[in-house]
Amino acid sequence: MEWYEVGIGLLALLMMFITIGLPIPFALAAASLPFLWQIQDFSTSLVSSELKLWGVWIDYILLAVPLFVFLGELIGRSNIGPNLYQFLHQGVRIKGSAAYGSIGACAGFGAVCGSSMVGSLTIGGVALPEMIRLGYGRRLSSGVLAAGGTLSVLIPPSLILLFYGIVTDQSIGELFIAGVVPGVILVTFFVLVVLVWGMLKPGDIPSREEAIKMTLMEIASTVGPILLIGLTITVAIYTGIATPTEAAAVSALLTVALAFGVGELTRAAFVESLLATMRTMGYLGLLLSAGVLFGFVLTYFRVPHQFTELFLSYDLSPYLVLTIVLVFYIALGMFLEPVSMTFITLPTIYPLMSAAGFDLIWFGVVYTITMEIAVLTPPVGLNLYVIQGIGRGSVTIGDVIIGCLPFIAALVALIGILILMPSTALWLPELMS
Amino acid sequence: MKERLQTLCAQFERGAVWFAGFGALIIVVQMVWISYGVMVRYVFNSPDRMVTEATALLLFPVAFAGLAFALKEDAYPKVTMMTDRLPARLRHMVEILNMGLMLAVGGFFSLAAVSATIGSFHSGAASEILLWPRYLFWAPGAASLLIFSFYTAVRLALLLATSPTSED
Repeated sequence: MEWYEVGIGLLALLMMFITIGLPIPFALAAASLPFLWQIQDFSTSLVSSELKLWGVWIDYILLAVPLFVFLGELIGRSNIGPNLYQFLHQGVRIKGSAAYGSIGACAGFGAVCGSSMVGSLTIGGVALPEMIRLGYGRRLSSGVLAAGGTLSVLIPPSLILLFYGIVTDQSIGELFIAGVVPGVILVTFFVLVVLVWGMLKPGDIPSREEAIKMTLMEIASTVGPILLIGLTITVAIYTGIATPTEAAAVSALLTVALAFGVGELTRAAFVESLLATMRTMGYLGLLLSAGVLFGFVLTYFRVPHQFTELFLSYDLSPYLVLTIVLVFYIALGMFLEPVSMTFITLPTIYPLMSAAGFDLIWFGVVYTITMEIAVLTPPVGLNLYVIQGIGRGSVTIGDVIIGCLPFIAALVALIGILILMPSTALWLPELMS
Repeated sequence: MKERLQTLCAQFERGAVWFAGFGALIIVVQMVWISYGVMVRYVFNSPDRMVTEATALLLFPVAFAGLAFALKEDAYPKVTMMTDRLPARLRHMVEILNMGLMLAVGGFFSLAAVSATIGSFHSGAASEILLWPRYLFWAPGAASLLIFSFYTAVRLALLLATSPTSED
């Protein structure tokens, strides 16, 4: 079979399975197996699968995944996240503090958790009812919280960056550090969006908010845990004291202690966190295993290599290639969630980006921002539905979508900055090395 | 028939929770062990030579222990925009087809895992540094995949025994 027959056949089969509602990990495997059996007989394909499964899962780097997922679940089920929001809302007395507090809390949450949806769910669960009670506009409230959740994906630790590093064989530590400066810029952009929103629509931000003054002790107990966990992860990786997996384990253990100590975590919530981690691992376990088979079939038929050569034969400028790839991801992100997209598309796309002359650490950051846009774009924008669900009828999906638009513009602007100044992402990793 | 299938399904769901609990316990062990490894390396200047390989080997059972639990909790991501618009009877048929495909994929991976467990038991294959037998890690993975496949088969049988109208 020719490489393009395999590429088109695989893609058609995959799209057909996804369209009929087959869960994505199964769709990936079901699309790969007929092509695998073109190369090998059934018994050889079993042996290949054994080797692939063992090879992919006996991986110390991958061990960071369940640990970071567990850490995020612990924070989500304890009061650590909501407490941070209360401080940023009540402890900082400025007009619009609940909106700025939401961004700050999402950023703080992002520094300890790598999942966008958990970020929106945890901070949104506390902040959305509070903002609506205080008289904030529904579109602003829902938009800031849906978009705020995406900060978790860029600010380390990030599960998307982790998976990107695994698929493209890039340093997880460098990828995490590369996300720091763009993450800070994005927080600033989100704050500016709220500021401009307040100027254009003053009615959406109440002029006065009732706030109870917090004592120093209360402030320490609300900000301290996030600061401690976030610093443990970042400093350990940045200084090379620990590998990302070690940083994940130590910070997860620290989170257990803090969640029980100051986060009012109950024993039942602890068990729930563990089971929720296993629920995520169940899906990731099969997704990664199926992704390896998919990758094996693609590589055997040299699809990524031939695809890259074909693309480069058109002699397009690197930035046109990048634009096509970004538009492709933004369009695909309307229908697929980021983790699945990573395993389905990256094995073919990253060789092309590398051949076009882009730094793969830099592209990892740009790719992650497009994934952030993906979770904010309908019809399959996970964060949109999370916020609508939390709103319990007080916000419509239309409110959330319209509310997200200026924040999506901020994400696009950040991609523009990264293209104009790649050092925005690469400066810290270069300093580190 | 349908009631017996429902009872069987409930039993597999309990099994799925136990398997997930087993995987969760391993995550706790990995978290504590790796943290201990970091501590002894820096505090006592005596690195734990087992931790890296041992915890990496333990990831293998964790990867598959939650498969059936994720199915029970409907945690697998899917796109249902098209199927939601289908009439009940057609949607039911698509659900049967999907469950059949899930069983086929689960069955293939189960076969591979069982074959690897038996193969590594007979060959005596072991890990590179600690020389821990590989079958000890393949076996829980194979058991998780098998429970997933049986659970999927029961869910498929239940779907076949249910008419689309009684579902609605």
